[in-house]
Amino acid sequence: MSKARILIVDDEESTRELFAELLQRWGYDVDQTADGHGALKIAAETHPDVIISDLVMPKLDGLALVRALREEQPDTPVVIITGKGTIDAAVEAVREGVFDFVEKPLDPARLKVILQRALEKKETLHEMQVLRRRLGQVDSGVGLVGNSPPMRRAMELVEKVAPS
Amino acid sequence: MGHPIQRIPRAPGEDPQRGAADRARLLERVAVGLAHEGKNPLHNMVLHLQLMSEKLASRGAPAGSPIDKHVTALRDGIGRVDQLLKAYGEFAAPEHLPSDLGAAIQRATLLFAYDARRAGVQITRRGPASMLVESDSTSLGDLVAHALVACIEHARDGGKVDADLELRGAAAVLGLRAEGGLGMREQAAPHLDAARRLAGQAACELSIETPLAGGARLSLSFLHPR
Repeated sequence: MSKARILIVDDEESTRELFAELLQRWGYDVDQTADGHGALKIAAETHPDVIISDLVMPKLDGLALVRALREEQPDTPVVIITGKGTIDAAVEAVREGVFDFVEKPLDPARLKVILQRALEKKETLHEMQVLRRRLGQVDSGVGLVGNSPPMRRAMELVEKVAPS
Repeated sequence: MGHPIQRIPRAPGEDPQRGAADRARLLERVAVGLAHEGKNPLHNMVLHLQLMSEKLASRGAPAGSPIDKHVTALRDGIGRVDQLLKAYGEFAAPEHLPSDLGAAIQRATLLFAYDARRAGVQITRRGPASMLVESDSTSLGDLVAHALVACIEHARDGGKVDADLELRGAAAVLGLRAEGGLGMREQAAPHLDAARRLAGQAACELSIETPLAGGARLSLSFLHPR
């Protein structure tokens, strides 16, 4: 099984390097970049499983990155890490579709759990896409197996519960 | 070459208190900046510590070794500095905070702990860490801070301040009692005045007793939302 790939976005080089070293120790493949523009470019090339981004950055900040990614890679979970830990900032981040919002200084144990959950979500979304594709094949008459009403109800249920 | 330096004269009738208010506005920004900027080095320290302890563990260092103790102490230190920075940031920009009387007194005791130590005053806080009240978060935080500082002044040089937070029916009540010490009434007075002014804005029923024998008793009562 291949390693999960994580993209780190932070304008402070020392933080990026430390983060990358830690995540590599935890068994992930890591890419890193200094801002949102760089993140979009790398994400298009490597399709990371999770993106961890600082909130306040020059050029394209964390939330602008999330908005841009919604178009390009809507299934990629983004975890925002910030020193600006206000309730308003967290609410705005969640409204923008951020997977989770972590305050600086980081709690490594909490990050481990968040990454596991993010990867599970990504995996679930992937499985759902595969099932949808199969369902599409059934609809177009490519495959007839599983086209019964109970099977269709099961597929509808999968679509409903998968995002949660 | 160059321009002659002109001293701008103070405008006649200019309010000297305005200068202090202008400076206070700058200090607000400084505190917010400090609270935010201080987080980055703390964040890096946490990452360094995590890497260090993982590397030590992978080299077979036994748990509970002397180095482990240092790592734990550093983690505690980072946590304390983080708490302080958070308190600075919340005190300077409280407008987005919930109106929490428990958090307000906790924050005030943290922020004025040094002030109290310098004044030779011991502060004891009892009651829940969080108690929401019907108030405005900015006035609430300032009111509690002024009330606490007034009590510190009343107990100056050897006294103590007890802060008790409790629910009494539909009211959340913060009782502050300053006892002992020499006390400096004149230094407490501006803070008591500020507390009186803020009480209305904060929807607080405030009572102040300053017995001639010394000390002070303040009661700050708020509606507790059900």
